[in-house]
Amino acid sequence: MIVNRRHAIRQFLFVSAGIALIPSCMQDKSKASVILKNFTIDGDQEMMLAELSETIIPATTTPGAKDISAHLFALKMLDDCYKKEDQQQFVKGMELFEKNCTTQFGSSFAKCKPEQRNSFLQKIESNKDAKDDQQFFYNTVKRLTIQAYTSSKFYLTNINVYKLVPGKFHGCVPVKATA
Amino acid sequence: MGDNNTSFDVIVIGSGMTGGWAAKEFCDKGLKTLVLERGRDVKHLKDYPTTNLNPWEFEHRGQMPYEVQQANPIATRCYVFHEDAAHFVVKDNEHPYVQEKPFDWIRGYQVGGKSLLWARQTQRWSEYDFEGPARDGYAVDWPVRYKDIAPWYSYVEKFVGISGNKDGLASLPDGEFLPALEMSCIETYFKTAVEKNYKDRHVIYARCAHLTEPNQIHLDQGRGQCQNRNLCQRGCPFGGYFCSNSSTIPWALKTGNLTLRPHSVVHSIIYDEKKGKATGVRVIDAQTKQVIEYSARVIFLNAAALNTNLILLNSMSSRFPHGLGNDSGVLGKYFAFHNYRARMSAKYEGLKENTTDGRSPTGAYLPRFRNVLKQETDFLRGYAVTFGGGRGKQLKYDGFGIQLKDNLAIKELGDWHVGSQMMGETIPKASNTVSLDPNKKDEWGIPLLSLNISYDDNDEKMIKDFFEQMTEMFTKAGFTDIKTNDSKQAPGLDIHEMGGCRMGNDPKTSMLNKWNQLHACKNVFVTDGAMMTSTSTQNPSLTYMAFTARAADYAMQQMKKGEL
Repeated sequence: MIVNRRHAIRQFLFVSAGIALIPSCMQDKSKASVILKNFTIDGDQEMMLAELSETIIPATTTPGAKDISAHLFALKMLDDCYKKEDQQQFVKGMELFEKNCTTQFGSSFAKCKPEQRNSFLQKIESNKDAKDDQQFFYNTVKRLTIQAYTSSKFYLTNINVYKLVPGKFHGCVPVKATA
Repeated sequence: MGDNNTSFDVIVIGSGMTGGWAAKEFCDKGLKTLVLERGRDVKHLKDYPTTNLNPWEFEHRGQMPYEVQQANPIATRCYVFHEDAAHFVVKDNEHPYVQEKPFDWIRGYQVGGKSLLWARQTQRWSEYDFEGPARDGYAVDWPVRYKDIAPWYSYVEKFVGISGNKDGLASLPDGEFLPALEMSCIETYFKTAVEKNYKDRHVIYARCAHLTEPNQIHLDQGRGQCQNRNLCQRGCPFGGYFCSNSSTIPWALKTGNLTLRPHSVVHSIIYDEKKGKATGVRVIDAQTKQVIEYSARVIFLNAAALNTNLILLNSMSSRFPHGLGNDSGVLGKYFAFHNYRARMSAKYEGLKENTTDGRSPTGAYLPRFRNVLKQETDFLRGYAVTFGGGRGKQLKYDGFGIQLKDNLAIKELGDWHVGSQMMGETIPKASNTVSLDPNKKDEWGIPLLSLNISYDDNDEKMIKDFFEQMTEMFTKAGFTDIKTNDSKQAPGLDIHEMGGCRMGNDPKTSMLNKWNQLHACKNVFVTDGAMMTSTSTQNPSLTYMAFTARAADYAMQQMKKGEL
């Protein structure tokens, strides 16, 4: 079990666009591709999370959430770094999220049209301080998607450049010089 | 370096900041030296598994898994316990101890010890520090003065490589310095504001153990220029900062006189009652639990303050029923630490046209300004202060989709954010003690250390003064949104615990003489934090290294004369 999980983790750390963990012709839609220790999701929920992450940070001319498998990073962080109560609230909130979406638009989030997704998320965004499970779920996915994106190789080598070996330190430079 | 050899000229217990120095000094002069380290070996470059990893290469982006945090509440409180360096920090359950009062004991059990993890801040003590106890009537008088230690500060600074400016301050003597890096705009600005408003307060570049420009001696150690990565806790591929692993241990190994034995838990020092001296060290192999006895003419105890106390307390004989050298009854008492509870934060809306570029391994520093020339406040002694700041991009997290993506690409910089940390002297007291638990033992059969250490009124008054003074100074500098924070952290999280085996002139009230020898057992020397009679405010490692080199030199002179 542990060996499988480590294998899965190593794979998705370096996964790039389009590569699934299990060949798609073999994928059992009802099973998730990641093995989690502390809670379970199914294949449909995993796919929904991929779509939700991508809606939050889409690919444009630059990579988006799917390109960096942000939803898999989010699941890993939830599994390893969150406490049990938060994991349970996340799962409850995810189920509520899907239920509400289906109630409003007749289909799960992954199958909704872009305008429907946007409208659904706008409502949740406008309710930012709500304390219900759905809000917790959305806020958590958003936060972890942002973390995946802003700690990704793409972001840290192109947008907010991080130098592993800066060499020099300059104590005072004009703002324009570092743009 | 015969594998079966158990007889040496010198045994050094510990391979960290001071153990490494003792090894270097003795090996340089041709003495066969055994260094005993209880943890595993960490070889420079080879054993730094995370040092070249980018942020995205860490499984949890630096965060420790929840299970690990729950299992290690003490280690988790330490700022260095993250994915890139947690492997150098002792796990709570592997080395239990007893907290009679809350105390966070942070340890690094490997070759190099905490010299791998330290913040590299280095300041000399001044005359005002060594005179403190005598002038202000606490602890006991130091048996040395600044003039005794000054040449040894110079000696170690040159080898270690210390970056700093000659500031000309009596309260913080200048040293042998490599060039200083630039201070940041905000540090320079704050310096101007403080020195305009206060005649006796100074903001200086915080001296640090970084090779800003290596000298030949550093190149000879195999070390190179610091690249300002600020990832020191991982171990440095450039040897840019000082640690035993990149510096003193390889140097000692090159002489051919060093035997380094990791996985060696020291049970006790062996005292020969007939000879009236220590003859060796009893070691329990950490992995096999085999007991081995090593002999030497001279023993240096550099196991770090608390473990040095533990070893001495556990070294019992009919001559010394209360621990080796403990005729005074003072062993394990007058334990102290640094008061690190108080912090400031604020922002500055000016200096909009400038920012920093890159990362500095140091910052700015205010030497102690309270009660320096005379006793003036309602508390004894005082505090030094760190100061630093920076500007971050004004990212927004609103919305989703392209709007969010654009928000995360914002380039505009926000206001300067600044912060300060208080580093307060604490007064050693008989009531702050370390002792052996009467019942509990660790997996090597050694009694657990029991810690009874707490803050006092002096500490609380000092925190109050720090908040008042810094708020005033921040306000005068035009900082806004000024916040004070008392972390209420337990003693120990400062990682500057010291004392229990203090130096002093009188064997009735101290353990060590002015050469760091146990008064009652002259071939045993203690030169790590346990020796400290008072704590002052300075980051202590540089002082520990200077005392170690000085004591080793004295020990060798005595050995040449046949006295030891």
